[in-house]
Amino acid sequence: MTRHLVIAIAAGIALVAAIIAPFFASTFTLTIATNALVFAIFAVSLNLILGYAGLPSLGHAAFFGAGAYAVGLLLHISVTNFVIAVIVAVIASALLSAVLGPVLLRTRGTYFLMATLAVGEVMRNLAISWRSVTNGDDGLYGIKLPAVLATGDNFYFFLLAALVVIVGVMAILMRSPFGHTLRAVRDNRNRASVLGINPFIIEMSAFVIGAAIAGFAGAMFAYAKGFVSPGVLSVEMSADGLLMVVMGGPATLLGPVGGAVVVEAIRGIGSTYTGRWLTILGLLACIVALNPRRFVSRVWSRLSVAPELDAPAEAPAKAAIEPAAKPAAPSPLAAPRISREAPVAMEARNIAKHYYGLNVLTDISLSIAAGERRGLIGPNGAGKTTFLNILSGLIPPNGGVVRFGDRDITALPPYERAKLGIGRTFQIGNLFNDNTVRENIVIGLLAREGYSLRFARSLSRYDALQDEATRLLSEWGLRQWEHVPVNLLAYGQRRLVEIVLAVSQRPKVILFDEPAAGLSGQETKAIIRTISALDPQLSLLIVEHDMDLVFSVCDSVTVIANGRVLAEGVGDTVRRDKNVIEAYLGMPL
Amino acid sequence: MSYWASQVLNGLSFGMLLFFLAAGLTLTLGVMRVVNLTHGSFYLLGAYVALDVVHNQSNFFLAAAAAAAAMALFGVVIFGLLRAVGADPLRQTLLTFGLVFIIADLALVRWGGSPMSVTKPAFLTGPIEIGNFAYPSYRIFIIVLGLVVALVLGILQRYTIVGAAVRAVVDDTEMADGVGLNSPAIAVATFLTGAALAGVSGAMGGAMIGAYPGADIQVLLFALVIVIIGGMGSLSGSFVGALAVGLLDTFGRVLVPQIGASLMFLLMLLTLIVRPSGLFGRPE
Repeated sequence: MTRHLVIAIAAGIALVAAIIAPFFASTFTLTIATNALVFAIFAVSLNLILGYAGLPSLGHAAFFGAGAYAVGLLLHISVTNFVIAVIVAVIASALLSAVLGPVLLRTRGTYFLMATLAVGEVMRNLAISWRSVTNGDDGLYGIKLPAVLATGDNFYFFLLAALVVIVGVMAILMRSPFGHTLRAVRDNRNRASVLGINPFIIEMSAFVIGAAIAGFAGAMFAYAKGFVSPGVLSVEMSADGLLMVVMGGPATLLGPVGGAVVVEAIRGIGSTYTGRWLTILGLLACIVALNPRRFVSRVWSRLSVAPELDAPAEAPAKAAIEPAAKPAAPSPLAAPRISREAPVAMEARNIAKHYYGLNVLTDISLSIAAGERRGLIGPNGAGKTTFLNILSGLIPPNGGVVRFGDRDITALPPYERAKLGIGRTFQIGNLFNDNTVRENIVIGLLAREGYSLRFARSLSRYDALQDEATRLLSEWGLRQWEHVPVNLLAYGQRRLVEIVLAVSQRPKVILFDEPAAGLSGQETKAIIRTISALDPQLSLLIVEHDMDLVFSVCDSVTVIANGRVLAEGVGDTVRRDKNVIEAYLGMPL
Repeated sequence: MSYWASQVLNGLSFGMLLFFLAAGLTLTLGVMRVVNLTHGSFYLLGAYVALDVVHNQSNFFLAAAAAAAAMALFGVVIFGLLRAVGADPLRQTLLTFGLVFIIADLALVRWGGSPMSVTKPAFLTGPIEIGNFAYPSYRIFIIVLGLVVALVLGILQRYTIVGAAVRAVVDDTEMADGVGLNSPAIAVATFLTGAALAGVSGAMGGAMIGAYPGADIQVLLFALVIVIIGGMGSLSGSFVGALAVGLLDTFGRVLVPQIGASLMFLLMLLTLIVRPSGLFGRPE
């Protein structure tokens, strides 16, 4: 809390200084300050894409430039109204990003970086060579502010107000369900997908919002300079933005503002006193890149409101996981729990998967009845995880059909399958690692409710979700660690959070990938109790190497080896199957 | 007719020049997974070094060798800096961008702002004439050289132990380490080879399209587009991509001057729609 207070005070002082500055500063200083405000808005917009969405864009100048050129081109057709020009600029940039986004977001990582860089260059080339419209390298001149803004320091104050509003909007966005979802997608795309979040829509929204704000900044730049030239679309412009964001601290609220102020001050003062300010800027970029912990970004990320929680006073000791008050497990295998007439919950037919000639799955068919608990076992490399990934939609099969009930879902993406009721846990702890236990659960709940595109109300004020999270946490004995980031949890507790996250989706089927992997004997027993105590209506498919778990939890077992089904049946039959013993068990159990 | 024939040769020779650049870039990207934006600066510095050497020694091939050696040395510095930055792609990008700024600014001080051209060797200054069709012999030389280098690199990568090691590191660095390959050494060697290739292309290109401020970013973009089209880490991808871009750019500027310079980017976007990891690249 004190840290937030420090930030609030520092930001307040900076704001007061910015408000009274024009009464003391020279025209020269004020010009630099005006530029700094424009670029602060630009950096804040880039931060949404670079920091919060984690998309390494090097083409953000395309949207900045689109806004600037919109103003210039409107003037060209005699539209001089400031408000109309700004609105058109924002819409133009947003539209451009909406058209380019679907192509760009198909790529990841380095490809995204290069593709965005190239997009900026297309725009710049067009601006240079389409002379009849853009006037080529000379650019478009004669852009004038309306009288109200042109007088005195009014434009400066206008920009300051705009920056405050935009930072405020960003603060609201990042506290909203959308903001939490965006960071969840950034941190763990696959996990978000199997929770029913459509990662593309989320990233696309951030991309378009970021572009729209950049378009606004571009329009302001055009008005501040009085002209636009192809330089507004250049790679250097995008690189400046990158420098500002990384220097200030990506994914912090105020960091990019600080970065923009520093860079523009150096540019403004440097270009006056030395011809070598590009070298200075370059050196600054190298230092920021090389010294992540000891340079300005550290100071700034401390001063900035990063959406993180205070670390817990004490990290939890490794403790046995003990779900509280759950009904005793019915003893499986004793009697057939599932009647033969039970409807099919989920089914896979003739699934095949190969990578570059390596056959992982040749022909797997498997059908799970409603309420059935099925074990899936087999030697390492048998293709068990691949098969689960195909069932949850993370990878497409090369052949075969996946059905959910009567419905063919082979072509459905993971988030659609999640919405139908297919839950999933992962073999390696696969959670939103920097988030707390509670946040993980709340993200799961908001995904289930389909709230991921709500932009306004703070997630902490969604009382129903928070109450449900509290109930789940208490029920599963996780309440005391709710504010601990999951990467500080003991391994067994993480597995428990995985299960709670899957259960919180109210699925009809849960696919478990080795829930007991890496757990001690005692922890495994606890996991067995936990899974046994799950709602008997739920269908489970459990991939596991721990035979105690498989044979005590599951109604029936499927054995796969070399990409084919080796045997299937109730535990005892499978245990004594000669092929299974030879291929996997080694000896009768 | 002969007009179009020379346009085709123009496109091919430009494409070969681009291949020198893209081959180096794609190798570093594949092996180190680092976006080295200074690759274009290697080109520009290579051209300037060649310019100085030709000026003093008047030997073009000595100049090209000097450019290669100088850029390989410079590559060591850049490689060290990249290693110091660590794995965060944002910081890598920022570092190399900072270096691009610094190099461009200091090169402006040292070599000035006007475009300069590396002097060609005397025997390659005239045209080659076949009947009544004449074409600059230097560009023919570039095409032949490009084919030879492509062949040599291809053979090295496909049929030698070193090539197999490089492919292994591209494919899976951890596994390569695990089976006893010295992946850092392979990464350095690849990086230096890439830098040297870019230096040579600076010497070659300096005699063809010249050396001038801004050429660094310009050729970098060509190389990046080619690598995206061809797929990261793929030499054959770079070869196909370089020729396609060389031809497309040449004909684009002749046929549709307004958008000629943007055509290669459109080709790139088209490739990304159809194959997000490039023609010859593997999905990540």
